[in-house]
Amino acid sequence: MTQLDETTVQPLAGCPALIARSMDDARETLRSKSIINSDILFSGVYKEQSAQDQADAEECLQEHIGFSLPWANGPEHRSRRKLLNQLVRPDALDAFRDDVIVPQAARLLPLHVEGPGEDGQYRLELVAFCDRVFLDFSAKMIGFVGIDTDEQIWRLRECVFSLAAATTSLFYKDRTGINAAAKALKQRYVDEFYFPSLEAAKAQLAEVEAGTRSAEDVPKNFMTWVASGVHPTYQDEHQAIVESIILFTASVATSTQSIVNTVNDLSGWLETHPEDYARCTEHVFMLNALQESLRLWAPFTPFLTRMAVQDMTIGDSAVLKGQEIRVPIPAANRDKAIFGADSKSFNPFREVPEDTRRYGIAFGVGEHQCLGLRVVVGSDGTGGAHVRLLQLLFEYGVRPDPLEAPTTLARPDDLADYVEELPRFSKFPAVMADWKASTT
Amino acid sequence: MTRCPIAKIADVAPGELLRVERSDEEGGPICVARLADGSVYAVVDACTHEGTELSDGYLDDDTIECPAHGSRFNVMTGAVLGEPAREAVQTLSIEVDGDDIYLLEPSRVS
Repeated sequence: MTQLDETTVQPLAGCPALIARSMDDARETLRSKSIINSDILFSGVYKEQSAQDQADAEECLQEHIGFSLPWANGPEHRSRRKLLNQLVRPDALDAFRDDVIVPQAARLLPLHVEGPGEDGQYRLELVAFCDRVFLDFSAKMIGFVGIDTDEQIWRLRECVFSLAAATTSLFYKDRTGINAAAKALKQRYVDEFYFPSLEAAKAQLAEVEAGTRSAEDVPKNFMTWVASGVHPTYQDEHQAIVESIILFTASVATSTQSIVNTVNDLSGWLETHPEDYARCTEHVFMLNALQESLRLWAPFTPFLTRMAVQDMTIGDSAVLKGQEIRVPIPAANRDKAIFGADSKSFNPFREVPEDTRRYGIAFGVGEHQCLGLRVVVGSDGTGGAHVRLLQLLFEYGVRPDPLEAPTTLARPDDLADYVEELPRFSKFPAVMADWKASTT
Repeated sequence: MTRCPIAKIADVAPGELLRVERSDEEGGPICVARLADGSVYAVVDACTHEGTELSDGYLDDDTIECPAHGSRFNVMTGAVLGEPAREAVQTLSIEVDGDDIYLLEPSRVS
């Protein structure tokens, strides 16, 4: 974990954060070699605050984010990044898309669609369905084993959902309650899922050692790397557990939110552009829709935090050593100078400048760029499993349920300074308008 | 044109990458790539995304993949084949003569 001693730049408590709101300032901040990530800043432990708020912040730092990959810097970050990047190499992604995510989604969809209701409609709770699909994917990517029943998956989902909230508790009301729930569920996560999977990985390595298993038969995943002690940081049990949780929460929650937000946005678009329904089977159209939703909403948090390690400037603003810089990605991604006068609205046909991606900086930029970039857009930029999943849903006429509104986690009021609205759906009732009884 | 020996052909197996140290004044380290067919190419050993050494990455056919963020480059042209890099990596002219790999550079006027 980042140490607050004389060898480390300390956050300037009481110094207001600079907000890098424009695309240029955001890119400059995230690419600067003089600006680092800080778990201390992200947890909020440096602030002057009530004893309870301080305790909540310290619990967030100690239990959920301290020294995990997104907040590591320099050589430590680079060495872990190289290791974990192997999880999302092209061959692995192709296999996850074709052998795990797409077939699992097709298998699970009939199990999750309910109906017909009194109005004749079939319904799907989209957040739960997506979580289920991506939990399978993440469990395999990380190397969790023995999660064979729906009950086990749902018990894991409870853990991941709660721990995701605890990791980003800075952005939610009732931090104390979120921490309390996460504490119990972290124990369940460790006892029921992490340790059994670690033991299974160790057993496989022991078989290799004994000559009864080929080294090539041992899957390349996080738990194998922990079991083999390939990286010194993961020899620390606490750090390895936290890193596994970060991998889980990042891959499941963001994937689910990207699908749900695209369904929400594209459904709205199709209401006013019904001629585009036919395009939903077109790969490029759906990829563009997904990227447009990512531009508007990802990474589904109001801002990233960074800290300057020397006096410097960002754009026209002076920044002091130790000063916090907040990068509201969704705000930068709605920069009118880049995305036009209608930058706050969804348009799958949006034209972007030559040097800009359709998703803007939804995955961040620079050395901390999200590992999930290639999972979503593919190794060659032509789309991964998410596009296929969206096409499957629209094939069955998915759209928001007109009778039941989605629910979101409550956010503190002051976060409106960063972006006007940023829903993180915890429940998204949908109608499957073209689902037929014979499909079930 | 100057011809500077940078490595032995035996130093890099087919399908492998090799880092050759070179000072920043000389242009920085070199990533030598020997394709499965035995042909040899070289690029500047720094990903255009974040400067990570490409020689620590992967060689798939004629594509180099950065080990840190997964940017992909054509080793023969330097062109970007996969995100997040946006700029091509600089290719370097080399020549294999016998057991040696040479870097070809324009002669400098002193």
